[in-house]
Amino acid sequence: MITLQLLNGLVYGSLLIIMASGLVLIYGLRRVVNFAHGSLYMLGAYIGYSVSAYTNSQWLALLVVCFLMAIIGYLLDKFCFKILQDRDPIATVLVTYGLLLVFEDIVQTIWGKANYSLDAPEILRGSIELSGMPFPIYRLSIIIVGVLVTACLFLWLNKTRIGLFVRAASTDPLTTATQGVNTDWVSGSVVAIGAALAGIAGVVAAPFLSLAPTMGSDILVDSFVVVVIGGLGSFGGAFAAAMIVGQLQTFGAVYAQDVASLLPFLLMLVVLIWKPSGIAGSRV
Amino acid sequence: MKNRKVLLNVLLLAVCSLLFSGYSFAKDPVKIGLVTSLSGAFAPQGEEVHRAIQFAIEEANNNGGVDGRQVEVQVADDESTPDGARRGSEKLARSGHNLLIGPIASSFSLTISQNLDRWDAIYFVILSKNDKITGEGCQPRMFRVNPGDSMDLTMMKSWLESVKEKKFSILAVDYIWGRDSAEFFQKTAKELGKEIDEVMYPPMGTKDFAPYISKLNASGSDAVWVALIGRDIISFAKQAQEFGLRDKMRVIGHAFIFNFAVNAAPEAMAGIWGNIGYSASIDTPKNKTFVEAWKKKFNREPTENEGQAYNGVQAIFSGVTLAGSTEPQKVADALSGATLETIFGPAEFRAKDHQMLLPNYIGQVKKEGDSYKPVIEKTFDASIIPAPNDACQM
Repeated sequence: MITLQLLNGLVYGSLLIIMASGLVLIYGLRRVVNFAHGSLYMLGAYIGYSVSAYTNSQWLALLVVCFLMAIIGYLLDKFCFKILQDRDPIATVLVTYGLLLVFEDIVQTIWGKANYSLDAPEILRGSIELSGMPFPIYRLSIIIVGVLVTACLFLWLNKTRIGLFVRAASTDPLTTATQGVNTDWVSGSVVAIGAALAGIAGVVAAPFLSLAPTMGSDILVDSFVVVVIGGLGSFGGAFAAAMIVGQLQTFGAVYAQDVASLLPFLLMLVVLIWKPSGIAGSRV
Repeated sequence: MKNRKVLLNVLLLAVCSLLFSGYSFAKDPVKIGLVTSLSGAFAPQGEEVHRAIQFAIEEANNNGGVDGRQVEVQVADDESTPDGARRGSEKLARSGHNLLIGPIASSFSLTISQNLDRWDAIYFVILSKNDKITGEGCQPRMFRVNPGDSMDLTMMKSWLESVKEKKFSILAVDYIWGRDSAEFFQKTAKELGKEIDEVMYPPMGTKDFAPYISKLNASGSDAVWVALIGRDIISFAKQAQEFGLRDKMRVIGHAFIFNFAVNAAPEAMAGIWGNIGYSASIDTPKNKTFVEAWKKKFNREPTENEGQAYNGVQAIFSGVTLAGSTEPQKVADALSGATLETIFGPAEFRAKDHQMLLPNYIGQVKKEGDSYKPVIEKTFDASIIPAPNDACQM
């Protein structure tokens, strides 16, 4: 039973890290707290639903979502985040929250108010026996996607030339730019990747959730809790925080249900008092 | 002379036009204030309510109106919040659209009901189930046309006596309605000699039910009583299917097997039992006419929420016809204790608490033809409805 619940915690933690890593990257580079990130997740789920319904292939849906969301992300950076980065933080919050509402309305106009659901790919349906209990294969694959995303991002940030530019730009964009790095292009790429990750999270979550225009704001709160606990802009911190929050929610639901929904917020409060910059500070 | 003749003609024309205009506006229009969730968590249900009420109004106007009056409607979005419901209702009521209908959640209905006298309005509850609406929160100007919780649960109790499962778990949303449902079910199960095992209260808007479902799978229960709301119903059904919960135990839902959830996740909802507030298959002349007209317009059967919303507007129309007036107080006086011809058959608005006394249904989600839908398995007569709550003092 405990093994199963640990796995359940890992599944939710993996979903949160896919979602939160985009937020972290965008904040790290542009210093923009992106409230519209939830709507990118929601948009990814809806586009995935339509492509899957049309082509009958969830894999193709995942690819199309990655591509489209990356384009949307790049455009968002070019026409919004770039302009907002030097503005008052409250202006950023207002504009990105406004974008969240606009995206919700767009989705409602195109897809209507009805709830939809997306099936898991055929190969990932069914379950395996763990401790005498069935555990869905699809959920195990979410953990694998979470690990893959984390590993790829880690390697990209630490072992590639552009990763070096990203780290440099997140520490000191001006000095990085004076060294001949096109920081706007770097930022655009990072926001595109962040948006694609939010889209992936939407497609990955869709088979066990119902699709609704408000699904983005629902997960945004948990994602921000993860980012704040981990440290705004810290990728490693967000990973640790996502895993902790996933386990807290799971074990809280089983062993302390009266306070389960409070636990992540309590942890956030403790971290903010103890170390306001989060577990790992603010370096990407 | 010529001038006098012209003047006479003009006067004649004026008298005629006054007469005709007087004829077409002889009576005040029926002004309905439709407040429902057009955005937010309850938007899918709100859309059903909106569609059904517009349909009923269009149908009435095409048939010459109600009591010789045109029916007009103004719509407000409650944004799926109690405060939005209060604001929307107040705006409509104060603009003269004081025959209110449409909100979904019980908290919205209870918020509106406290202001009806102040706004000079009357309110028809179509989907809110909390017992307070016909209990301590009852109002002389509030009428409920859908079965309340105690009606559903009394019916469930009768049905559970015939159910072979002995050991039950409970999964109810951590919200007043869910807690009330769980409490009632625990009491009922004990009275019937059934055993209660796990009792869990996931918060509203739970995304991942896996911890709860894993616990249920390990519990060894024969059945689980599920009381969730909105999108949580779909998420739970899909995740229960993923974890093979239905192979282990019977899933019985309280206000759970709605068409919006069945349409979103048909296979995940298949085989789930629960109460049904309305079905297109109800065999009454009025319902047959309604379903036929609905199919002609939408090319499908009405859903549970659409049927109940339609029934609510028909109650307004009956009230106006009986009162011969659109004044809220007169409509309320006419409806209190009256028996109406409804899509469920003849049904009385009980004078003591303004609850419409309807038959109630239990069924399961099944495949019929090409699609899955809630199918009535057993009908319970209105005679099993519990007596009015003494806490209701009109």
